[in-house]
Amino acid sequence: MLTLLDVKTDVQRRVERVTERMTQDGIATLLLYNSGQHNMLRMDQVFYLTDYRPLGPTVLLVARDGTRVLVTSPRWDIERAQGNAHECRVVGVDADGLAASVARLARELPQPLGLAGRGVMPLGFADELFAELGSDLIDGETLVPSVGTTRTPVELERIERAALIADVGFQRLREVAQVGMREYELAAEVEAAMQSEGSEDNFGLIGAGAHNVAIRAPTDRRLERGDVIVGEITPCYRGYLAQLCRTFVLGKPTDLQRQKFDLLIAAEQRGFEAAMPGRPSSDIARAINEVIANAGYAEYCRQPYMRTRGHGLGLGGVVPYDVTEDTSPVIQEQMSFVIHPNQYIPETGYLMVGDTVVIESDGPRRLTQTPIELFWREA
Amino acid sequence: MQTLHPVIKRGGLYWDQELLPRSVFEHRLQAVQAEIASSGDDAWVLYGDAMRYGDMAYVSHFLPRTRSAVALVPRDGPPTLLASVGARDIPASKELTWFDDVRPFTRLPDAFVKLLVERGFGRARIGTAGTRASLPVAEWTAIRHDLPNVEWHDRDDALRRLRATKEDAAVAAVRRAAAAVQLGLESAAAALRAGESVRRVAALVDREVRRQGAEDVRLLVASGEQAGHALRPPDDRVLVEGDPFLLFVGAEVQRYWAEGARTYVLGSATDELRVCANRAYDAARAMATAARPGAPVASLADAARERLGDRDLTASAESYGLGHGIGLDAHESPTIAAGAQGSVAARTILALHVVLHDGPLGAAAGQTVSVHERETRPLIDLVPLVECRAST
Repeated sequence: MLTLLDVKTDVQRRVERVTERMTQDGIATLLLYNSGQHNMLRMDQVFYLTDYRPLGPTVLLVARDGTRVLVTSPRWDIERAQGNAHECRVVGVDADGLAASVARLARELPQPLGLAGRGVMPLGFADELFAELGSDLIDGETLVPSVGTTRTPVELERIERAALIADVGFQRLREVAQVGMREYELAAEVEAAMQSEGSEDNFGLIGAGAHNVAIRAPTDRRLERGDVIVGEITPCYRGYLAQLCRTFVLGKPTDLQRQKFDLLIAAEQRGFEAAMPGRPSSDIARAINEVIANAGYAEYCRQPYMRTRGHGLGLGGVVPYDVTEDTSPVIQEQMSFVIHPNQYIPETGYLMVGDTVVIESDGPRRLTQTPIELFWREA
Repeated sequence: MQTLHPVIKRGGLYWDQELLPRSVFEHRLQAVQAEIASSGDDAWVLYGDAMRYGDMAYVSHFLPRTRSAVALVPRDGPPTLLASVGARDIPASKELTWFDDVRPFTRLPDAFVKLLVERGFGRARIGTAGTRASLPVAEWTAIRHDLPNVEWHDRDDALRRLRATKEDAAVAAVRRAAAAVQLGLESAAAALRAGESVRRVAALVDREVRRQGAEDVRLLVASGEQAGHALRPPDDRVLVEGDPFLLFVGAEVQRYWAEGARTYVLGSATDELRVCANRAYDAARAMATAARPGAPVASLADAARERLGDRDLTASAESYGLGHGIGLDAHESPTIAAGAQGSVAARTILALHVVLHDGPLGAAAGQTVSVHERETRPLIDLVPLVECRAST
């Protein structure tokens, strides 16, 4: 178990890597905006450099000498911010005073300024900020993600914990799913089981039906005998997400369902084999698609049926982004992401299998521990 | 109350057409189109994201569970919804709205510009709502660049006026959300035990609220010595006998929000805690009593301030805010504060809360109320203090 000192040291090293890049990019102070709206597929750069997950709009100012000023809203959350964001000067403000406070503080720090967060910065806030600081700030959008492609020991420990929590969530699904239960009631049980184990968020989707077209949010539909329940379970432990995708049949699976699920298992295995350090992430997608295409489902490996064969997981980092045949970040040791050959099959509907892995020198190590099989229980 | 926004709205996501029938939205569309005509605009663009979707959902009932959506409402004719989903998600998305025309987008500027040109608004006068609060500047810059012949006008205020008055169906939807919150608050009393972690208690409360069909659930807590400092998301602190426990619960059901807050104690309350909790309760109750149609908004805050008396307590409570309108967004106008302008309108729904910290102690009292022409109806019970059994 890592200590608070480990966490502080880890965050400090991240800051050092960022400030080195700032020097290379000619940025004296980097302004990082966070809207308070969190996203699984977007790196939370403020969190990465503070270990603080804000409630409301927040800006982190990082100077080239490592000085950090965290300006967060709502102001009553300042104590939590101070407790997490060690070595930071923390200023609590109301959201409507954020732009003016940030501008005042930014002017006190070395110039020129860089900016990250335009992609999530609301128009109203931007107008206020740019009126104070000008809009020609240096583009610093990719600076932090570029130094956060691989996971540190602290990050990895949290991801491993999140992966185990995902296993708990799916175990709960297997235990409680029953005919007559509403989908949202099932999701509530999974959620509570994971929260009890430390999950603080969850990119959770659970859908059911005789023939699913895709994964979706739970509805008020009641589970029926023979339903195929698909789950994308993504708990968050101390800011780090891990994802588990599995399929559960409420009743004895048909031979056809077993056969098609075996196809997905084979595809995932091929994906694992391709997830080697030094290879492009597109190799994973190609390996998975090849298995599925060879079974006669090539057209279902493309839009609108399929989008990606995996992805990085925020909040701490998102490289290698989407795992598709068209994108090719090079896989590196200590990268962590999900590989999921989830697939729409015309005969059975949508089936899901996927696991979070960390890349090691000899390939991926699976962090989610749930067996890779088609689960079922008599209805 | 500001709470931790999740990576996705992961509760029950569906359209209860008995609660909110299509006719509700048809009437709203007519009202919006009348406003568009009176403002001289050709169309309005209503933007929303998972955090603030009210403007867009007011006419569409669509909910972006993550990312964003845009409703294009022409002065005449049918509306269109652009949703940040994949093409395969369109069938499920169409289950959430009465709009016939629902289109996916990956990059908003591309889809938005294409839509406006297709609908004949490449050279037009367009009103916007929700854009200043939520639309990312990078997307707005690209849209403006690609539509140089569009004249843009901010219509936030006009839409806010329409949304402020809640129809019977909207009140019923908030009532549903409030019932879920009330169940959550009541379930906490049974879950609180010495030796139990705050996180586990919160998990049980969260489960109870989600079981009622909530799309989203928000909890803030403060326990033990934290009660003297601040609310926060649930943590791993283990409860001990005598602990005060402050709990705020917000829930979204069928796009509508309700909020409530209570103070609990594990075991018997000390006199000091009882006084503290009563102060929060009295101040919250005074606001509810003052919430009548035509009452100045500031008078609600004044009523709370008078009960709180002490300057530090007042400052503590005001740092959280004393309340606000609530409905499709968790925070709507009016904002209840000293010196606030305007008056309380009939058919407004208000979230009223007093959270205060006093030395090592703290208290929270809050409820959602529906202001009608002749009476103000509490949708969640206001309770001074809940004493729980300390151990099983």
